[in-house]
Amino acid sequence: MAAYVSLQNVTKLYQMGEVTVHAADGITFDIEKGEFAVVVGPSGAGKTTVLNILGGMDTCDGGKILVDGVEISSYNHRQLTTYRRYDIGFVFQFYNLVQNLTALENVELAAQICRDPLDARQVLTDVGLKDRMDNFPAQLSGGEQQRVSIARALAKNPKLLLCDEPTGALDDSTGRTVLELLHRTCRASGMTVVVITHNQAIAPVADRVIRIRNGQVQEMTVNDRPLPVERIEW
Amino acid sequence: MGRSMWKDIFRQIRSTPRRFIAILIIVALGAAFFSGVRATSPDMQLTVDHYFNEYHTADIRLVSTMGFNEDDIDAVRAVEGIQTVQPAYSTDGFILRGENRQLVNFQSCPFEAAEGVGLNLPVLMEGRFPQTAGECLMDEHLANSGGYAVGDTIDITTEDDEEISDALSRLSYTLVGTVRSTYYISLDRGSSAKGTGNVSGFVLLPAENFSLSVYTDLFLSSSETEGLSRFTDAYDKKIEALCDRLKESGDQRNPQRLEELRTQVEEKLSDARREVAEGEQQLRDGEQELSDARQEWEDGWRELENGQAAYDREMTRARQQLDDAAQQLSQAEQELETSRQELEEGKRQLESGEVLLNQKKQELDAGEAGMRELEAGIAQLEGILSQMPEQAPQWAALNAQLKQLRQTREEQLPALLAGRQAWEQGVRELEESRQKWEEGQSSWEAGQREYETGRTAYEKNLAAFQQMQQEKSEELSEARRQLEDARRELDSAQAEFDEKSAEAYQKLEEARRDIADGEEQRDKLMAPEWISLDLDKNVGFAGYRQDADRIAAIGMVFPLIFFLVAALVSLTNMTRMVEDDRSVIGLYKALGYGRMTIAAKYLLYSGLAASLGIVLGLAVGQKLFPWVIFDAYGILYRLPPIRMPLNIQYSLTAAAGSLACAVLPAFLVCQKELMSTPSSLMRPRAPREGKRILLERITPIWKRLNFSNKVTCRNIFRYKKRLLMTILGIAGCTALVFTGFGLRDSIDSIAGRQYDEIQQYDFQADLTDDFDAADRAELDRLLEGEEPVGNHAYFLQQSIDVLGEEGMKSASLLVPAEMDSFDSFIDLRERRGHVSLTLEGEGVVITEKLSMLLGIRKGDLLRLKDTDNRLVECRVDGIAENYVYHYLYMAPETYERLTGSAPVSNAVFGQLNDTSELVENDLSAVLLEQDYIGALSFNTSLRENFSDMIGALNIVVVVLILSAGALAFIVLFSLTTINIDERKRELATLKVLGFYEQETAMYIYRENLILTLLGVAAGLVLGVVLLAYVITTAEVDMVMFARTANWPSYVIAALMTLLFSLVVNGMMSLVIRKIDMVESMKSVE
Repeated sequence: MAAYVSLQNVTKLYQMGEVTVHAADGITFDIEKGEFAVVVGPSGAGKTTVLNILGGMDTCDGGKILVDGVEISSYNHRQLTTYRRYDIGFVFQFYNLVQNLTALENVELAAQICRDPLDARQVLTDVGLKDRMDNFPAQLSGGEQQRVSIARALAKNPKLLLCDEPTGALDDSTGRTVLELLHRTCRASGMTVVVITHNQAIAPVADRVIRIRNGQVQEMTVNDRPLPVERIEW
Repeated sequence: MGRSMWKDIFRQIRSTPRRFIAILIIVALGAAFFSGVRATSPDMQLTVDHYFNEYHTADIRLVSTMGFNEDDIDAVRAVEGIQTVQPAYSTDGFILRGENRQLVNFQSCPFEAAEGVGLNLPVLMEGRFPQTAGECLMDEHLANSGGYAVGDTIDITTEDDEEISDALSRLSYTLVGTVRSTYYISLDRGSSAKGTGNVSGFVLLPAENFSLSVYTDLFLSSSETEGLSRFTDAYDKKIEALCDRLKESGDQRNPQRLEELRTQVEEKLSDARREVAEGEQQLRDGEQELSDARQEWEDGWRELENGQAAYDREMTRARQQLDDAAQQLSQAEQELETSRQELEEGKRQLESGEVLLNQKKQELDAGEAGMRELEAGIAQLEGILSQMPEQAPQWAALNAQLKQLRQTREEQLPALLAGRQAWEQGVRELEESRQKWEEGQSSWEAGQREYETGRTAYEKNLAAFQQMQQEKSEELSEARRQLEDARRELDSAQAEFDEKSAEAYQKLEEARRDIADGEEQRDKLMAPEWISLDLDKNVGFAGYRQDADRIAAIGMVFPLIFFLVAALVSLTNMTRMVEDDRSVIGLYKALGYGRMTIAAKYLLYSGLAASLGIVLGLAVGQKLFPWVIFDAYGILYRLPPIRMPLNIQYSLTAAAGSLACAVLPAFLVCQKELMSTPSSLMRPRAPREGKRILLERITPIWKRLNFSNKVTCRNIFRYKKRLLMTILGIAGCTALVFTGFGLRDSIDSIAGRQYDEIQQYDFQADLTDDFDAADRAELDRLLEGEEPVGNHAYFLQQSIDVLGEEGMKSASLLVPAEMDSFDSFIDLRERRGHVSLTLEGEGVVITEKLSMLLGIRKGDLLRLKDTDNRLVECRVDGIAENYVYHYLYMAPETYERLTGSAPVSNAVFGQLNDTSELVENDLSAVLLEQDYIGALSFNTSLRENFSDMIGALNIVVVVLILSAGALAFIVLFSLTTINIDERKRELATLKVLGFYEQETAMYIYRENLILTLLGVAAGLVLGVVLLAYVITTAEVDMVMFARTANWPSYVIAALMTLLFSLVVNGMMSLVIRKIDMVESMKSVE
């Protein structure tokens, strides 16, 4: 039985002028369903490439990607969009909320295109924004915005929650709260969460840590006893 | 400014080509449109000015009601400001080629024209100028339409047009060249009173061929308009002043001319009278002669009759005498015969008496002898007896014998004695009878002789009579013959005289009538009037001028829209650019660059784009637009190629305007940034806050909108500046397209409304002054007999001056003869709502444009000046819809009340069942043949003029639409580009969220669509205003364009704008597709 998410020898080349950059150079890892996985590595290591490919935003040049038993590496442009639409929830570093929409509307924006969305209000209540639903992003703090962003991803009821540096733009405590939310969500709903970060500090809370360097998986460790979020050192 | 700054600018351009190009193109469009469309009108004017200068086009054509003689010409020459006077002849006639008969205008052309001397020089297109009197030049248009070529013989026909021989001494010419005339730049060749009235073209003949006594036209050039364009007010003023002076001069000269004319006419009249008198005398003489001859003949005849009678009488008498004589003769003859018979009887009696006497004598003798014998016997016996004795035996016997013998003697002796006696008696008697008879005989003989004489005389008389009778009779019959001959001669003389005299009488009658006419004319003879026809009276030039003005009007408004939009586009783009460059500006500031240096980057960027755009725009615009538009007007005008000098004024204006439009927004936009501190600039700009929009507060509507629409609505109102700009740009586009179509509509629909709906007649025939009831009956019959003619009606049409609040305009007064049929010829109605108007009131109805020009409203009073310069006041009861010319309608009763006299119809309006050219030409020929018909015009030809104008306007509309399309394109393109640029992150996020391409695009398009729809709506409103402006600017006094466009124009304008919008959106979908989702990962800058 294959893993819920499986990358097999994934390669991605970028042609930068005359130089060919191997952004992903045979990356292989598995993530089990319901796991809270962290992909960690320094800048330029290839984490974003992994994220792009896994999130269906980019295609790989070689290797195989399986999500829930489906090979998405063979998807065309449109299939990838459908994949993103129904299977992926994405949390951005800079929240990427539509400034012109309220918190609720931002959630609805994602929810309205899904087959089986969660109730936007409920999700927002769940992420602790019950009273801020009708506020515009500009009226919310960074942490609140990120929570809206998470709520937006969750409302789609995706198979996979991909988070790109979710705490990157936040201060310590807010980042912790957000991370806590993601962790709790993972535990509570059994959602598979993949957090991509350069922040080594987050690694201890993960069920699985995948360390990437120079386009390759340097180390993949399964943490049987992840630390609670509040206990990690930032 | 350092090199790195320049490098920065060029890199900026390279990295944002769309922005640069957008500014460049919109500026180019603005500059092109401004300089191009605005230059078109001056270029059109320049072309014609130059053309007219080159061919010395006369400024004024002076015509006179009586022609011009040399004194007139001198008078004109003396008028101040007159440079050249060129007298000319002009007459209309027919040229014939095969069956093809064309009505043309013959004009004199001096030989000097070949050397470029004179006015209105013909523009030689082919061939050469005439060198001899028998050569001619022909209108190129006519040559083409009639199939004439250089070298052909042009034959002028006198068929149905004998008068041409009075005007032209030669009727056959050799065509040596084809020409154009600056006097006929349009295809209109004027009209004529001959034939169909439709002049096909002109033919130029050497002047010597004209045998007219006076010049028909004087072409004049002004010495004061040197260097002035014919399209300027300055020129108009000079010419107007000159026309006034000409009028003054005419007012002085014309009474003299009138006197001359009167004298001339009087001379002619008295000559004619003398001739008539002579003729009459001759006639009388002839008559006298004839009646003398007749008298003489009659005398002769009477004499003859008398002679005959006398002869008859004489003859009768002579015959009678003769007859009497004859009778006498025959009586005499008879008497003679009787007497001869008697004589013969007498003779016979005499002879028988004689015989009897002789017998008796013999008897007597015998008796006597017997006696003697007896005696002897007795004596013997006695003797014997005596001897014898008685008793002799023998005595007794012898006595017895003697006794017997004695007895016997005794017995015999008495008888014998008685016999003797009787015999003697008888002899005596016989002698007596013989004597008597002889007397009778001699008397008879005398009678016989007398008779013979008588007879001879009678016979002589008879012969004489017969001879005389013969002679006389011959004489008489000779006389009779002579008289009869004379009679015949007389009769033939009479017949001849009768014939000749009838002719003479007729001629005399004609001469008398001519004299009467002449007298009437002399009495009616008014001072000739000089009519100055300046170029604005020239159909071709005036039309061209109006067209140029129309283009100028379009050139006034439209480029402004482009400039406005250019400024908007520049503003948007530069705003975006400056916003993009915040951090760079901050950096420059931090590095210590001065404000102006930093600003210079943006000014240079926009300035560079604008400059390139200006160069492109000017180059293309000033050549393309005038050329295209002029080419379009080539349908209407025959002109040399357009002159398109680089118009410095417009170029500079356009350049300045465009530059300002591009650079000023750039400067303004970067002011705010330049004022900020470097540190604040280095920080990313806070994203624009989301806001609730007004619509959300209207819950019922908001609740009904689906999510996407809500987002769209909010987005639309999020960027108000862009909203405004998009709507403005789109509105501008729609307005332009709409105005283009609307302009076309407004002119296009004139024809239908004016000639189908309002003026429901198809032709108008002007009647001459002497049109009388008999003529009218004849015309009625004629028109009723013409199959294609429907109804007809009589009108009084008169040119009058109407005075209102705001000046005086001349209009056409129209008074129907009968009110009943008026409705079916002219539909008087208000333009709005088509409310019918009637003439039943006491007032008048005037047409709309007139009311606008004079500032007269319904119920106002207006004053009319009729031809006799009398002022009358009347109330306006209605303002009627009308598009061409000004009319003033009134009922006949009103006319009578105002003028004191009943209206006299001078025009007949008719309707046709068939308005084909063939039918109209036939009718035209029939009607113009009538003496009482002066001129004839068909509404069909008026309509055709409009069609031609529409043809030219269509091109202008296409130009407008293309420009509008380009405008819409640039606006939508740059706005959408910026919209996408600004929201790249948002769009990338949507993509990451799993929006399909379509959905992502729609996220933007919905906004564009709604903005486009709003823009279209605004554009239609703007378009109506713009159209109204353009129409009022472009229309001339005499014409009112329709004020409203047809509904398809609204639809087409909207649809075309939508189409432009769709095309831009289609192109933009590529851009949207290209947006990388990686953008979403980037930090906000």
